[in-house]
Amino acid sequence: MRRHRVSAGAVLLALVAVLAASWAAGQQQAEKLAEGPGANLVLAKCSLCHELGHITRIRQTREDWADTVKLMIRRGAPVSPAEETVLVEYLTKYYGR
Amino acid sequence: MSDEKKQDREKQEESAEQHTVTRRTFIGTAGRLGAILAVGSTALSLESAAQTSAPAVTTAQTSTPPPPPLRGPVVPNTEVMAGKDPVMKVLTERPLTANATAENLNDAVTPTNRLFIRNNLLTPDLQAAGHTLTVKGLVEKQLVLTFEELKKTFPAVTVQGMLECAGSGRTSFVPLPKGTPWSPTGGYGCPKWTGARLRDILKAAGVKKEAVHVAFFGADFGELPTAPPVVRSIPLSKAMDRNTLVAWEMNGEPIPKVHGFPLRALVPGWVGSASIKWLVGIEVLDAPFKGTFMDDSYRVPAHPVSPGEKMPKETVSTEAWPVKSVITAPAPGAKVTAGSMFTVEGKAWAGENSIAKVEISVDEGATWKRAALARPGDKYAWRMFSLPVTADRPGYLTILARATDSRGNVQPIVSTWNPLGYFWNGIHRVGVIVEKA
Repeated sequence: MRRHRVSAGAVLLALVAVLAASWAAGQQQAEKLAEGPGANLVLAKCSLCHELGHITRIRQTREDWADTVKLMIRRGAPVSPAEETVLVEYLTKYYGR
Repeated sequence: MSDEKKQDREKQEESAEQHTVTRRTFIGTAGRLGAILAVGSTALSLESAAQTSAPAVTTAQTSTPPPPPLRGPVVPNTEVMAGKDPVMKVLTERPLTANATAENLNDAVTPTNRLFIRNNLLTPDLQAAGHTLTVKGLVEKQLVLTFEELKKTFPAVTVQGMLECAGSGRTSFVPLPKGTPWSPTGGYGCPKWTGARLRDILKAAGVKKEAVHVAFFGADFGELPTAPPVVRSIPLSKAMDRNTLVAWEMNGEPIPKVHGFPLRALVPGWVGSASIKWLVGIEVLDAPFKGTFMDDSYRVPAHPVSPGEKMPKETVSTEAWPVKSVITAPAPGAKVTAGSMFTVEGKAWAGENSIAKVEISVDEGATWKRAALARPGDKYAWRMFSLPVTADRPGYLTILARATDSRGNVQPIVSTWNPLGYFWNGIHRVGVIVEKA
């Protein structure tokens, strides 16, 4: 009886661990940006208001990314002209079409 | 095209005329309102902005948007979603968007806990007590009404009306445009709304003859203090439509916080963004409002562009939804039995028009059969349809629904691609499994 209870507890613990790991993996997958120059800036600026899925699920031309970044600046994103160039470069390279 | 424009102008003139006549009849109401007119409100940032930038008496055109509303308490997403049915899927967290798909929207009236969510910014935790609505711009008298005064002063009406995000169904577009990834059959609903007719409020304020557009100001705020406020305007003719409301109830209950508590605009049949939530201000203007939610979003090319092409210079503002229908039963992948009858059910709607017919095809569009239409309800409510169907052979069967509106517009096979992915109304197609009897 006692042995049985211990093993049930262990199974429960293992299940919790597996669920937690898969949840974390899911989060990471959804939130992960392609590595490259500018990734940290994208993370710092875009994540102020959005989860990264807004970026990772679409592919856009350079022109469209440039327009998107400009729009976000009009909507209050604190991005300098130099940073704007880095963002557009990164987004076009890794999420371009 | 020019005919349509002419008709629009005529409609607008007619409505303006109508308005002048009825304004006189509303002097009584305006008189009653005299007691609750206020000269200014320091609580409203939109108010103070207008007072410093332009004397609203001479021109109401707001060339520079007001500063964003001050940040206040926020309703967390977890709390919002706790009030929703588990069939709803969260599409984005920041801003919060969520939808249920057609097979879960089979009720005649969309239940509150299944209505889609589309925030632009955060969900403000507003209170009804102390909430005010300011009416200003090209009006004879500026009004500042508390929530309670508004409810007491104007007759309450209840209408069932479509609310549908401009991007509803966006993920059906190829390539996928940016924006909320609405499910192919998500991003719309048809609840019952209770509130005051906007036209009653406007008549009480006295709309001046230069009026062209009416802007709504939302109290929502973003993560950053630099986020511009959500402001959208609609033509005066639509503002004067008897079904356009300043609503305080949804399905007989106070509007949930995420859907605009305590007050929201309801512009049924039009793109959902016109129905500004957390309404704090109304401004009568001599032109469409100029702001990012008018000029950068909710626009489509004046002429179609190639899929994937950027937005051209010539664009038009999105207004009424085109004709559309969805199959709500059977659900995709449902099992039916060969030789036995089952019922295809669904909903159809058509923006400013009404539904003339809905046809069903079970042979990929080679032949069509007319579905039965339920009795029409309110002007901007969807129309339910049904058709008994018998699958004569086992295997896979596709069901298509195609609606035609009162002007002869038919749903397309695939909607015209546009850079922001608006107005998806392509024919809905559902596949079911036919099992041997």
